[in-house]
Amino acid sequence: MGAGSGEAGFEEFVAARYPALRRTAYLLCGDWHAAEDLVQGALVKLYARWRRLREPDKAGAYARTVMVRDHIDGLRRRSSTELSLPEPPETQAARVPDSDRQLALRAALAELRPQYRAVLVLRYWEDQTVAETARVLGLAEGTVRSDAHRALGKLREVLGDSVLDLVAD
Amino acid sequence: MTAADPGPEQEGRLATAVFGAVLDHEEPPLPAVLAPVRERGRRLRRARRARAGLLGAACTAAAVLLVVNVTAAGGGSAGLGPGTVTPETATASPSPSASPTGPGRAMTMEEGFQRLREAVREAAPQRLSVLHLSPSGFTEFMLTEPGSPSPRPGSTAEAVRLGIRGGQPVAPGQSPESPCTRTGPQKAATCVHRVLGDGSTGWISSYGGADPRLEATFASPGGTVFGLSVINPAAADRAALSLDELVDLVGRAPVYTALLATQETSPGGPSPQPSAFRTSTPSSGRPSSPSSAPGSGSASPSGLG
Repeated sequence: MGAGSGEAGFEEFVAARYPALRRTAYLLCGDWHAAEDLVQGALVKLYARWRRLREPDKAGAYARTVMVRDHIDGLRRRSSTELSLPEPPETQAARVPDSDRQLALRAALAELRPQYRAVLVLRYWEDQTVAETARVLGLAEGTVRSDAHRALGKLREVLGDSVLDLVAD
Repeated sequence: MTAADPGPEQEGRLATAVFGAVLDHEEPPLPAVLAPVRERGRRLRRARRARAGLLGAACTAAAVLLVVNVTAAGGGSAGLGPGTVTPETATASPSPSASPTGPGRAMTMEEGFQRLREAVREAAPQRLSVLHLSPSGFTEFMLTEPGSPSPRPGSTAEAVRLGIRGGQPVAPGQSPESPCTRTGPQKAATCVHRVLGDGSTGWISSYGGADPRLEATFASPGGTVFGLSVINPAAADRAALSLDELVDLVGRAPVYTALLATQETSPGGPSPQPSAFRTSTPSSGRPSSPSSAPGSGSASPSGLG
């Protein structure tokens, strides 16, 4: 989407892109609060350079790249014990209970290594090319392909027969 | 998915289906993000500017070395003459002291003053020695050479305070407002426009009356206002630091860099002027209008302002 260069342009950008960015962030981390933090962090960086963006049309790509990299870097800095909870209990209790299937799916995604998960989100949810996914994650294209393959294999393994129902839906 | 991608379409469908199903429930309400994003974004922008300013100042100062050709100004140490300082560029490499804190960390104010003190100690005329630099922004000198050419009352024990000057930033490429265009007691008696070797422009001004002093106030090419002020109990024309010495001091690379850094690192932007200056802060971004000062005869930036 295009983006104006001024404050109004940034406001429009946030209004238009925030929900999608938050969904992508949620798929990356599995926690709405963490997703909002990720998006906000990316928007802060975007805002700081908003007037100097050479290609305003790529503001969304910039925000997405910042978000994904911040997420991966943040996970690397944290201890591994923090990675296992897809969502804090209090945030789950605050909303309508998820179905068994959603819980199973979230658990399956939580089984994936963060990099695998990011590859899947970028490739298949954001519909990015292998090259763009590799650029965002700082990986070789071959690594992106193999990560995607392994990640999907892991999902199939964890989900078992329910994969067929899911794809059929 | 690209055609060359070996991943089968089926795999893509699986991932998309999983993600779609995970998101297939009520999302939390959208939070109000604009205000915090803007606030944090502005802080980030300021921090980046400060870092860039520090680095730029260090590189600029080291490269240009700010050789101030005071003889070309036509003014001796006893008076203020019109003139533009012709820059003499040098190609020195950045000095190790230019960025002591490294690019990843902003310098604290204390570190900035410490650095300035060291720079002044190195660059000050040999007859003066730095005695003290207080956090309020004063560097005090004591005359150490009783037989200095310019006789001063009590020269063996006369303290000269050297103060850091700052002010609101001006637009890039602009000079600070001429102190001679002010009104009231803040109005300088004489003003000389000067250009430092890196393109910083500003004014050397002298004040008489009850608060005699010399001030050097410059704006860097990026718009940061900085300078030094010599406050002396003696009359301005007999200040312990002459006009030429003051310009030379401000223009010395380490001093210049340290002065700029004090303005870049001041909390909340440019530092307020130390109270003892009792001068108004230059706020105009335009070049000053002709001065009514004695001896001023030119409205051009290269003349008396």
